[in-house]
Amino acid sequence: MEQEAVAALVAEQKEMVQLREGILHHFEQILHQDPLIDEVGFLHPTQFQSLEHIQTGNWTSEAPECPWTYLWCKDHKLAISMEILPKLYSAARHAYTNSAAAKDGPLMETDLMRHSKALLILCPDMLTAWNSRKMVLSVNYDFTKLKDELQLCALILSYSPKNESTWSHRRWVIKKVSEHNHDMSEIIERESLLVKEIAEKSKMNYRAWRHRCWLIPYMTREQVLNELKKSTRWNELHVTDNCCFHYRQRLLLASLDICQVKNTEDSLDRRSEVHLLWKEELTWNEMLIRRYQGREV
Amino acid sequence: MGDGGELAAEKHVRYIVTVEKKKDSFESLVMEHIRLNGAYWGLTTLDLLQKLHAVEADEVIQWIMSCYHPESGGFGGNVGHDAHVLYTLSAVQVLCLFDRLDALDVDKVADYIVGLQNEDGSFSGDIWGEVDTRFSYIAICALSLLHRLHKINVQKAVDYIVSCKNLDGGFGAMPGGESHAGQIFCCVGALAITGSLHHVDRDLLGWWLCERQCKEGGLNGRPEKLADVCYSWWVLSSLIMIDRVHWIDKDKLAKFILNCQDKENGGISDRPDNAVDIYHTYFGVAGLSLMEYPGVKPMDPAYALPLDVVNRIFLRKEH
Repeated sequence: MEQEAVAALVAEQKEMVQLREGILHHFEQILHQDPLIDEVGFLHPTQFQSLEHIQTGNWTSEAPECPWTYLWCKDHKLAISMEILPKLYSAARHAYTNSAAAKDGPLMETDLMRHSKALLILCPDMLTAWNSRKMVLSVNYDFTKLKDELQLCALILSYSPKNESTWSHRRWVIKKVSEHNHDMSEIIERESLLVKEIAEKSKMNYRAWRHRCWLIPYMTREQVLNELKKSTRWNELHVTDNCCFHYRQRLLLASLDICQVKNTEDSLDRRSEVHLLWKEELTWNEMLIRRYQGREV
Repeated sequence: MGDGGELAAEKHVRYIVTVEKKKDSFESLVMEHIRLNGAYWGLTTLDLLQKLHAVEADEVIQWIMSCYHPESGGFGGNVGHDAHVLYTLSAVQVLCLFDRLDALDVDKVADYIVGLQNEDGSFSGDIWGEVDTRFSYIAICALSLLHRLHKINVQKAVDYIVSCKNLDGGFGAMPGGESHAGQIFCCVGALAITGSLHHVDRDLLGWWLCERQCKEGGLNGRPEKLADVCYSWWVLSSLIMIDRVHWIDKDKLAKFILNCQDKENGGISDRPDNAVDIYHTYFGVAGLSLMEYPGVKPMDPAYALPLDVVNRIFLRKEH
């Protein structure tokens, strides 16, 4: 009698593990097939049901093992039902730990990258999983892979904009690229845009603006002046946001540094240009103070 | 919750002890990678409330040592996680609470931290090289608790922190980084431990810090942000270190913290009526400790440990 009960329990557990792994496999498949996913939503089961249903393949959508009951992907948008999160998380955690322990061989690397990606989308704070990715990416310099990495970070930041580990990983990737690739202007341009978009949704996000300040030393003179121009309008619309004023302050200081470095023919021109810039700044600032009285920033 | 009334110490103790045991909920699963930080927050709170004996010391220490990486000398956030200074400091602090630094290979742990100092005096958080003034504080605090501060270039470490000072008197995460109350605590704390507070413009920084007090009495971390219980610790400890704590209204702040308590199930939240967590429970109680709330042990503002623990370490100097 007792033995039967144990056997039934074991069978049940085995079934659970299979169900979990099946869903993880499906989740990873979706991530692999659509590398351009730019939004992830964690939905309550009732919300999830209201999504327009898609092809269910060999499954009937009522069957508990049918992955479409829990996962939905269309137009690069991915939805995950909250109901399945704990199971999916523990499957991803388990798969990641196993592949991290195995380490050697290129096949293991693919597994490690796949499982750590699934895990990080569910729990972006998992520093150790980010580190595994850094380890794999450090072996051979591959610009395309590093760009994919930026894409993954951007995806996670779209729903977790304050996540420290993700921002830190992003900086690691950019540093890596800058060591190999001298023309950073395109990357910097895109980074700045990313922070702007995140800052619009996540107000006074310290980590996002810190990232933008961190980029300044990588900028060219034109980019610094351009950023300054672009930030004017933004600041006018966000007068209570200390972050953007601090960023502006750093840009102004960078403009000073740049004109001091080289003592070439046009340095006099540049100096007068910067002088003018600072005078305009004071007038603009006075206007803002008059317009919005009583704001601390 | 309305009127906060008094500190529900017993309820908070029970809350911490239950959180400790509840490892299977989804919330604790996704927090598992920083469990060592959680242990520091929970256990320090217990000690401040004079209830450290509510947990089994040997069990805790055994678990802490299972997060240790003997090859590098650092600690991971939990068993099987990579080493980082964030968790190494928590491990050292918890061992201090139990007076069990003898469980460590002190020089090995110190060398792990020493190895993370960079040429410019800054500190990386781990082998992957992210730099932050938080890591400077962690390194200096941990090495000082281990009596190994002499192993790093203290002058360079101080110079780097000073290079992160802003025009408003505050400090940021890196040179040119915006002032933030949490980063200010780290920089001021590191300067206090190394005896370098003369680099701080006390009146200017004190003014910025006391401006953090909002109408409802709570403190925020930056201009125009909402008040949050955790800044009771970051701002208050910094103000104490620079001797400007009389510039804020302590009664109103204490009321704000007490209003954030869950008086039924224990725990403290970031703002009144929000869900409680262990992090804010620690910062709330630590804040009250800095304001000499009755029944709560006094806390050292730089080492972030109860004062008697810090005294025990520095008055008994066998190293």
